[in-house]
Amino acid sequence: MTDWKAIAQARGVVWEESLEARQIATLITLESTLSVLVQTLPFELEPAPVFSPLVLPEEP
Amino acid sequence: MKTIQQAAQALRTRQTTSEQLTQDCLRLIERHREVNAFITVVEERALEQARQLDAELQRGLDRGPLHGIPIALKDMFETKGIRTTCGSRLFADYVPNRDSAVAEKLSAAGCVLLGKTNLHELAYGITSSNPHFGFVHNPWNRERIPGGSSGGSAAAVALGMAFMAMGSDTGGSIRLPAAFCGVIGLKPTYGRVSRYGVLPLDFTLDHMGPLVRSCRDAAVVLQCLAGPDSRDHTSSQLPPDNYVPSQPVSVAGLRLGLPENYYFDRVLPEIAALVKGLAARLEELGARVVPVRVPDIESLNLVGRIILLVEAAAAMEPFWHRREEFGSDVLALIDQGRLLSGTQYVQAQRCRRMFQLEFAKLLESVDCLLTPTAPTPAPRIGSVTVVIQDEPEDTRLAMTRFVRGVNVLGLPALSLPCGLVDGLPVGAQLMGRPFEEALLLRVGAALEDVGAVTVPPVAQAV
Repeated sequence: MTDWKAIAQARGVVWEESLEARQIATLITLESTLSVLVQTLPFELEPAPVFSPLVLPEEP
Repeated sequence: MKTIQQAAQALRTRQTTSEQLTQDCLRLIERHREVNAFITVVEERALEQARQLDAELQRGLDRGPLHGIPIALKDMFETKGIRTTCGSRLFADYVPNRDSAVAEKLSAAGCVLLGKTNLHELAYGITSSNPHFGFVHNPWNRERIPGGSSGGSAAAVALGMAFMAMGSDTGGSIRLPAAFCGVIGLKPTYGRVSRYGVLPLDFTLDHMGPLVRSCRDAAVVLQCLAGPDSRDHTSSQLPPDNYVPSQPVSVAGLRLGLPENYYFDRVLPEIAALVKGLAARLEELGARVVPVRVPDIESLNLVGRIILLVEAAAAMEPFWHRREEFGSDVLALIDQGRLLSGTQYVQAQRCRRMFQLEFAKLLESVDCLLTPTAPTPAPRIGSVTVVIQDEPEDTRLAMTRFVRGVNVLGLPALSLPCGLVDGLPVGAQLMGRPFEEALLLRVGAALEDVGAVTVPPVAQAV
């Protein structure tokens, strides 16, 4: 399992003690659910274009 | 006088003037000051602008349906010479030397700018409980949030402080406040309205749109704002549609998708009944209600959260070292975004693509979808959890679960007031295919015309 506290420290993120558990719980949820979802993707599926998530229509 | 169209008519029949309308709005801003809807009010400038616009009309120069109409902008739209704080200490003294594309177009169309509305800090949250510029309160109940992040804009429109207020929507920030304050909120398709000159929160999720008191008003505003803008490279080249619904308007033959899964699973029964009631009215008007199964929205929302966290952290990187200038909730989200990996971001974008393809297929079988906007009315200020059907949930995640995914998909969506629950307004959401705002506005207008959708009278909202 990812050591989120260590990553936070390495990146200079210092959490208040009262927030730390909640922050880490959120990150664990995001990571674990995403990893399950990714397994369902077709191997060749490309990401949505970062700056135009929709296929923009041709210029008139 | 409640709507832009009514005011426009009165201006042209000389029943009122822009100066009079502006004074009325300024009086209401003052009367409801405790709602804290505005960060900046430009009273003298507005009155001067109104007088000039009145003089133009008298000379026969008519700029169109927005001529002389008093409006407000969420305080993240840059306005030349007027400070633009984004609800943040970081920008507390920022006075832009340019107008955003939205401000520019509305000004050219003859709108009178009343001021800049309060918002959730950096537009990054749903409460509009701003630690730097004060909490925005719900006009219907001061102990409730107005929703966010465009909370000041929604409160202003609900109370008649402005005929229209612009909002931005990254994960529900137009539609939630619209629902919680009892007004109409339109989030256009990604790329339909230029983002030039709007302080970014999330590059691929930010959408700009109006909060108003009728669907035809939303259409009039979109007609003004839609179109390509070379200064925003995400702006679509597709020419604007004709958005303003005819009168009478028809929905005969329309295929309305009503989700069988997810959207009615964890929602107050009263809200579910009101939304389904709208579907029944549309069926009476000739639409066909089609039960549909929607893709995995829980996962779609999670993908949206990852993209939001990472992009917002990236946008805020120049300010990471000024931690003490962020509110605690926003700082927590930025910290989370800093820790997610590049791999996870790309995987989220791949999942986004998958969901876009799934929704494109779904929207071949129906013309639009009808859902609740939020599962409950406005939560109390400070509420961290809400209980829905005996289950406690994180307030932010619960309130955004019907709206967040639409930003990931980039689709247009419209929140319509559909009634009161426990004395508070609630909303229904229509979402449609890319660039089909006109269809959503037509459906909304049809419901307005038969009285099924009404913005509750401002007089009640005290």
